[in-house]
Amino acid sequence: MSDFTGNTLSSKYLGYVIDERTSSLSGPFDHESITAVATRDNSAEMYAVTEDKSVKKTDLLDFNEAVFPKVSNPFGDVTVPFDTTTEKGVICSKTGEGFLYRGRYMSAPFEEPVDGPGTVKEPLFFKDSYLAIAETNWLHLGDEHNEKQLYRIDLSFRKNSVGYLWFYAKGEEELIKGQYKGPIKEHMKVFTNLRGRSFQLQMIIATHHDHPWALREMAVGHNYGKSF
Amino acid sequence: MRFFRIPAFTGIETHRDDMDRGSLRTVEGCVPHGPGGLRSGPVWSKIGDVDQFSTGSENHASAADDGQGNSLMFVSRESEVHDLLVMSTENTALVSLGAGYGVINSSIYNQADATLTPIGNRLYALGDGTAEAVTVGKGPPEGGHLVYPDQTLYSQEWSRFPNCQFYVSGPKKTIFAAGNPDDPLTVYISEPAGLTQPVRDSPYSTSETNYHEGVLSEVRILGSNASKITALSTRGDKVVVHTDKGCHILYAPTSDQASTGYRTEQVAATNTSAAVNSQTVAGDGGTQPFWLGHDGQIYKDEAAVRGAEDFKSYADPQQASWKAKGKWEKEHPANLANSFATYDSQSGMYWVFVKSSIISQNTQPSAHGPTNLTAVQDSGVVNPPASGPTDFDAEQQAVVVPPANGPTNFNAVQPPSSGLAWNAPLQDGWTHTIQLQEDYAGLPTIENLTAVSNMSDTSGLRSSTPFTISGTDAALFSLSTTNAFPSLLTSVSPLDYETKSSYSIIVTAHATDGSTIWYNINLVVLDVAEVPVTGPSNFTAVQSVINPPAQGPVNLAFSIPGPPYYGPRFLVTEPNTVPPVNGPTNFGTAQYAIPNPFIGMDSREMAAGQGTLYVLGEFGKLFGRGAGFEGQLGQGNNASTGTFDPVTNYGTPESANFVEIDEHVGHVSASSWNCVWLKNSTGNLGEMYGTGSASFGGMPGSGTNTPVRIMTDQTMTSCAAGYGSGMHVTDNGKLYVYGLGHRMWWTTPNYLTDDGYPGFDTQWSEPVKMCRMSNESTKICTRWFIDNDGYLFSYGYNYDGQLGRDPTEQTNWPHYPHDWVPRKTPIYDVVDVIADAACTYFIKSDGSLWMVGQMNSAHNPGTPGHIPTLIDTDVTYAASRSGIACYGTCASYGGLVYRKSDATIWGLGKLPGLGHANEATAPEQIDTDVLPGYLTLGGWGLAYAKFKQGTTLSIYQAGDPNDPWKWGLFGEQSYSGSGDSVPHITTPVETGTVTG
Repeated sequence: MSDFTGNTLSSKYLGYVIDERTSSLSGPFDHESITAVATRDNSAEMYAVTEDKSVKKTDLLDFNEAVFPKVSNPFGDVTVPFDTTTEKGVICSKTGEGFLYRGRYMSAPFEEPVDGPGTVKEPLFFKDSYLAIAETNWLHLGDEHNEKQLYRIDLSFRKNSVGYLWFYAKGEEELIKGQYKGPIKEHMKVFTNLRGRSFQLQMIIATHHDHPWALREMAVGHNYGKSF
Repeated sequence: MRFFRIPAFTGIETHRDDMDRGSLRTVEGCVPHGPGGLRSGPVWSKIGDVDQFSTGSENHASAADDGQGNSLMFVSRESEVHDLLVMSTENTALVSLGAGYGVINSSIYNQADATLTPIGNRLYALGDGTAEAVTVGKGPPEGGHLVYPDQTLYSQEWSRFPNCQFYVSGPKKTIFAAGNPDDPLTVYISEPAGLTQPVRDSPYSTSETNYHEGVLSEVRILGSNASKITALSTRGDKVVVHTDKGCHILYAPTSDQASTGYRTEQVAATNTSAAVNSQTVAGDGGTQPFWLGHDGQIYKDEAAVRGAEDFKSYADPQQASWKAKGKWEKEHPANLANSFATYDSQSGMYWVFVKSSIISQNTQPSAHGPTNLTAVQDSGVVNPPASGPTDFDAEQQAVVVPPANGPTNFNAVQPPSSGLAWNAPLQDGWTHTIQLQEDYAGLPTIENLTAVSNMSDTSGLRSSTPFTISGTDAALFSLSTTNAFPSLLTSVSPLDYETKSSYSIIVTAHATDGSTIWYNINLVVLDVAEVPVTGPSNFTAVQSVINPPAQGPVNLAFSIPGPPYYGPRFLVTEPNTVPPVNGPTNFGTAQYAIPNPFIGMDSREMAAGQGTLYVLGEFGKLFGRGAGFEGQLGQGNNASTGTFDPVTNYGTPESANFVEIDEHVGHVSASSWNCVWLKNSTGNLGEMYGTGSASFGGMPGSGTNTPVRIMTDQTMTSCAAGYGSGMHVTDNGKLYVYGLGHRMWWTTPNYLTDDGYPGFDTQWSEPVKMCRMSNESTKICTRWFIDNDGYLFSYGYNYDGQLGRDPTEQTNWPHYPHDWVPRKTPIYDVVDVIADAACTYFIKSDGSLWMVGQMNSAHNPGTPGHIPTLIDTDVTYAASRSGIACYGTCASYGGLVYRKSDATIWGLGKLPGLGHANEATAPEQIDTDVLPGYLTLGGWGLAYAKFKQGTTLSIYQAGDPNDPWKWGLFGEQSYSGSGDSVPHITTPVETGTVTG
């Protein structure tokens, strides 16, 4: 599989959301290229117009209940490139060496993204998709003084969640462990074998525009001490 | 092995980086979901398309319905829908939308994005500050509503707001509005009338009372460092005024005057940053509990509490985004003005959209804004508006074109279709302006005349011919006569913008008692881009000029400009008894041609000033004749020479009455009363000399009547003379300009006596090889030069596209668009350029002659003036009047003569005296056997030289001996012919010879 060098399309406007329930600010969201947005009275329906003049709607109360219908693989063959100059999507490295999304390029996990283009090694192509990235601050796992061995991360997703997962952990010495895990399954384990007092975790999911995912639980398996 | 379960994920948090409870540094494309979970972003489903939107600078509105009573409205500009409104009907589901329809298909709102803000009664104000906002919506459900302005539904809340951009329904059922670019720190408030105080008039009302006394109050935000109000929102019973320097709070209007003298009390708020625009705090759905501040942070509405002016309080408690500060806003662009947001109360989500920094920076222009810092002037008032906007009467609302068709759920606020039905009292002389798009097919109904409101009722009108029309254009309209009511005022022919763009009609209503009321209708026809019936001619050729060769090196040989053809010089090795007799051919056996000894230097052998003719004789002897009263003949005096008039009643034709000015000249260029030339007396190219008028200082040689060398340290290869101004190019490609208008008209003092301004040596550093300028001082003049690659550069005035550039892209469009900085035109491969009055011609290396500017537009209707049009081929030389001497009409007509390779000369345009009362719209042949380079055109005459006979150049001329200023043709100034009327010399006659 040859490397891919190029760029991906970005939306003109990036969305951010303040969620009063969780007092959180999340974003950016760029997957629908929205240029105007409004809500409907007496409902939780949000309407938007996109750059291609499509009118779309979503129900924000769908966030409350994550029951997803079963779908067959909507991504198709992810080894087949798409035209990144006309179609939106993301390109991610099977080996974690390069991620292209919304006009930006992240050369490796935990690297600060820069404006594209860039080179992705062993690329996988996800058309009509966007990249969801969740990166924690430093976790000492309830004990900030003792050294620990980060052994594995257990992830639990809602049934019928759709996406392709990359997961990485970083120690205090900037050592990064993790891997591409492939399509999301209900239960997934990421083996890291990383030592240190505190760690950062980064989860990257290639997410389809029309098919959501929901992470129910993340648990960090670890041992105490410098060695087994 | 132990397991540490993340208890709960957070949003973006950077305030501390060692949170151990699932604090997230990055949360992109997903949101925290439940305990310990995350979820991807919302999934959208498509319900329709926006199929009508504005592609230009105008704001347009369109809408679509679902058939269930739900409607969506889209406001668009520059091919982007920038605002969206959902008008819903309860107990229905909005599943899909039907076809779209236009609500506002044409508007004058073209300065910025206009947004919808609610004003109640299911109506929304839409405006960008260009004019008074229009009102759109469905209106109240009772039916029969009038939305313009509705003073019957609930009159207390209605007022007319001048050029406001955003509105909010404030306390006590009042409407607050702001965003008037002419008064950017003023909030306008509708007067809170009541049952006990039904008359809405008070001493603190606005000055905008010409038609609606006392209906509107204004509150100026006092003591603020802000430059403009950016949004309005409500909080409790107060209105929050967002400015670019923080918030202010307006209290609810009361029946008494506030301590400031305004209608409401105002106080400053302590929050750090106010909303960047109305869309992020109070969009179409009303006020939201958050806003995006100018500092890029999201604020809670509770931040707007009373505080001190300019007090720097800790911002975190006021911000909803405080934990993410320092990271999330890093991607924001510097200009947040195009941001937009919405709030959903069910989910408690505030979605805000900010322009991506990857996309080019937002260039949304503000309608007005501070530019320069100024000191406080006079009595401490810094340039207050001289006068506020006034006369917000009915006709100003009439700028919105009503929807042509489509469902009627949405109405743009329009002038009442039944012209006089509005409730404002009608007065004699009232003016009602209507704008309609031009209509090619039908006869538009202009007004549906039904009643006059201040007559008691329709019975107040007489039954027979209740209305009559008169005025300038009354004959072009008709009133239906079959029915007394209504009377339809209809155009008798389709409105066509190109035929007539405005009409004036007077409508008179006749009452039964014989009294009348009349009012004016001003009908403005809006232009619609029309499909040309036939395509522009020569389109392929035009394209070949505009587009450089796509093939690169393949066509390179053709794109390299060839050297200008300077014409042969005949070196005669035999005695003059064996001269060449027929130009460059038929040489004697001992004769041969050598290249022009001045090859490499610009070459023009003949030039015309205002009444003065200059011509080069053999081997570069410069002769002149005609007017010399400014010393332009270089004889050391101000005498004129020669009567030079072949018409018998003007005296005896002269011959050989030229005076010698200089020698070894290779190029001569003349303006009205000056002459400059390039000579080679030392073996080096291009010494520049000049002589002539002192009236226009700054030009080389000005103020002398003997030739003087100009700028002795330079070697010139090209020079041009204009009206009291000049240009030249040095042998190292530097361009110099000086004299009147070198920084163009009116931008510096008129008379520049000492300004040898080497301006473009610093402004233009690329090599230049030739310069030209029009001999014109008014706002049509142009300056030109050709660079070493053959590209044409221009600057000056461009009203008619005479710069070869789109005038709509120029400074000051549409009034005398100009550009003082030389810029590259799309025109390339040029070997000569001839600057005329409002027109320009250029010759390419293939011998093709082209034109841009006024004549181009006039002769090729439908072709923009700046798009070149081919005039002829095989052209070796051309000259124009160059707008010389104004000619009484400021030379508003171009005139061109040119020589083809077969030695014929041709004319086009306004040719003085050549029998063209107006202008020749197609090239007409003038003569044959004309020498290359020996062709010039002045304001009053044409002169040229035919092939030599022996050593004699025979000069021919044609023109107007009755010239307005009595210069003759190129003869002596004469005042004796006043009142004479002799025929123009339409057949060129030989009038002089030169033997060098």
